[in-house]
Amino acid sequence: MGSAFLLSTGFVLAAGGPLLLRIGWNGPRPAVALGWAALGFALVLTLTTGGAWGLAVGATLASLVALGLLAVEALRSPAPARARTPREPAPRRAARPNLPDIARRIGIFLIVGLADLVASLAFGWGAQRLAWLSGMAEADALIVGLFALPLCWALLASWQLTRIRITDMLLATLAVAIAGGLPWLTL
Amino acid sequence: MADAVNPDVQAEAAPAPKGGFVARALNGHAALGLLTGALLYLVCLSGALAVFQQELQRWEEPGAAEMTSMSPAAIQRAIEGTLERQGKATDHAYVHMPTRGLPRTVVTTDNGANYVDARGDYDRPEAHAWTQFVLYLHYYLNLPAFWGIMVTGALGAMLVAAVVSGVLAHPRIFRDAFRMRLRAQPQLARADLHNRFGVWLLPFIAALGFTGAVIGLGQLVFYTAAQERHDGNLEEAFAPIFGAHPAHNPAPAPIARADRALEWMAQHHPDLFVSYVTIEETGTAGQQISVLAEHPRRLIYGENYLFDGEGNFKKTLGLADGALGQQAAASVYKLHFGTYGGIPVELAYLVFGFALCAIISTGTTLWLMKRRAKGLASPRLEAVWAVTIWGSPILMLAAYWLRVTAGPQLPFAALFWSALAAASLLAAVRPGLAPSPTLRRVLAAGLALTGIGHAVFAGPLPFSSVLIDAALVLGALALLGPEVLQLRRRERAAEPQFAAQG
Repeated sequence: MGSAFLLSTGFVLAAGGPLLLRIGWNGPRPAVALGWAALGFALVLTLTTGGAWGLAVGATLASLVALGLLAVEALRSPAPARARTPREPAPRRAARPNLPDIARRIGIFLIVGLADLVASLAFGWGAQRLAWLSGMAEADALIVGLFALPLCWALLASWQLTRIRITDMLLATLAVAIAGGLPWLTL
Repeated sequence: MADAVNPDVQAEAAPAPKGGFVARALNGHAALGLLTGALLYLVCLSGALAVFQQELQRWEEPGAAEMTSMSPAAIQRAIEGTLERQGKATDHAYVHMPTRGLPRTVVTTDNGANYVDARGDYDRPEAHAWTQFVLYLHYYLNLPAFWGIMVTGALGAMLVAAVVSGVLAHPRIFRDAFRMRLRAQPQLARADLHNRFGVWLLPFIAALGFTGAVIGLGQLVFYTAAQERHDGNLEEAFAPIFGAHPAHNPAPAPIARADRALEWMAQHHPDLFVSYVTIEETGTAGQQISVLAEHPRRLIYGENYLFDGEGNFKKTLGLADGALGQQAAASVYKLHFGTYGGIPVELAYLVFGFALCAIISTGTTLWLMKRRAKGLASPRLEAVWAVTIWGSPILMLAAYWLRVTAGPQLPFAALFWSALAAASLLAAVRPGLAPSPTLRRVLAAGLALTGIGHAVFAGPLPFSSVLIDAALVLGALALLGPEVLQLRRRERAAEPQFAAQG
């Protein structure tokens, strides 16, 4: 009974959080703090009383309320007084991609799309091997690998795409591959 | 690649994109979108529909025998009857038990699948070819299973990367949290939609991308585990999480007693809902029954209760209370498909799924609009993108009507992809042939006609199918709504002028 009450409270707070944030947005600032606090408490309550399921339902509720608030905002947004067609600048010719540029783009694609996958697989597998050798159950060690691979790939690609130099990207791939490959090959 | 996002940078002879961290993050975010946008859109569109896969199957195939529950004896009769009717040996036999979304019993073997009635007697073959096409579009992009799931898994990882780079590229994330100027100028309206949906759906998109990547790329981890620890035996690599295949004993035996297993479940776990019954090594002395029961208020897809061929309980697999790794792996699927909170969560996932489609669509559209604003319009690319966004759902509807008129045996995937490729090619050659608004109107008309046509011709329909038909018509109205409102606004704005002239 107590647990059900706490879980329901968590859901109410999850739904109320975005509402309070909306009130505080361009409004009374304390509402923003209250909104974040509500979301924080919702996270703790749903997770502790409802586990992963509770957290998932709470997050769904919060997102749904936020989308509802956005819909209201969209309906309230003023239409332009007179719809003007923006003046289009005179067309200009895009520079023809030269060979080094094309090679660079293909290189980045190969790094992010293929080399990163291989490096992340090495990282994921290395992590799971370390976990397994440290005494974890095989199912637990496998899940380490299952989760580490996509997470590593996504983070690596995100970081690389903020780099200017292709060598920085390559070095990051290599670092991850070595970090994962070493425990894989040596242990 | 980063400068593919902003060709001006390259046009002005800079060897590589420069600028602050935010600008570079934005370039990276755009590059990811351009690289994966079209495929990601197709996966997300079909994924949004896949949330209601059971209801869609029921909608596609009206008239099959329905029931809310089946007795254990009827299930046994259904299995034995199907195997006898097929007259061929099968390794596996599966029974889909009646559920809320699909209150039908389906018996599937290696040789085919059929519906049975409430007594367990044969009803008709299962022929949900269109729903299956949509599902396989989501799971595999209609490619061969291994490569397809790898590609969709990779798209999941890239979706997570797009979330990360999107956050990095958005320094005013909280200041703009509720700014939604949908009626402003097109570029601003699209930017608001892209950013606001992206921010508020961040947990959903990240969870969706991550779980999709785990499901897809997980194959690689299992393959590696199989190579290293199990002499290349993939089944053994899966065993620590999803259980081992029963010991092979090919001596013939009577069909496993699923009825006894189900009676045991009703006696010992009356609170659990049984959704699936599987028999492995069917008709042999080594056969094993696995009963999948859903555990309420859990993210796991269920717990497998294992029985021997006589229907004697052996053990549970441990998805509900075994190793944390087993529980985590079993929780990925419901989180991905939104089947953890009944109809409300499924509806939320449908809305979120379409919102994600809008995010993907507006992302590339914004890039194209920015190019146009800089005098670097790409009418061919714009036309191809319009075909991807509006043409692919039109072709999915066309596939449905083909299914209705020509039967379920057509190769829908091949037809869909050929038509999409041809339409894209045509759009690239003749960009003015079918502009975006025209395609949107065609889609709206297709949705309305499908909803009305199905309601009229498909015969007496269950409530969920009526709702789908109504949703299709409402979808059509939603697509046309903004256009109609804009037209009325223009008419209103023109009225005083006419009055003054009159």
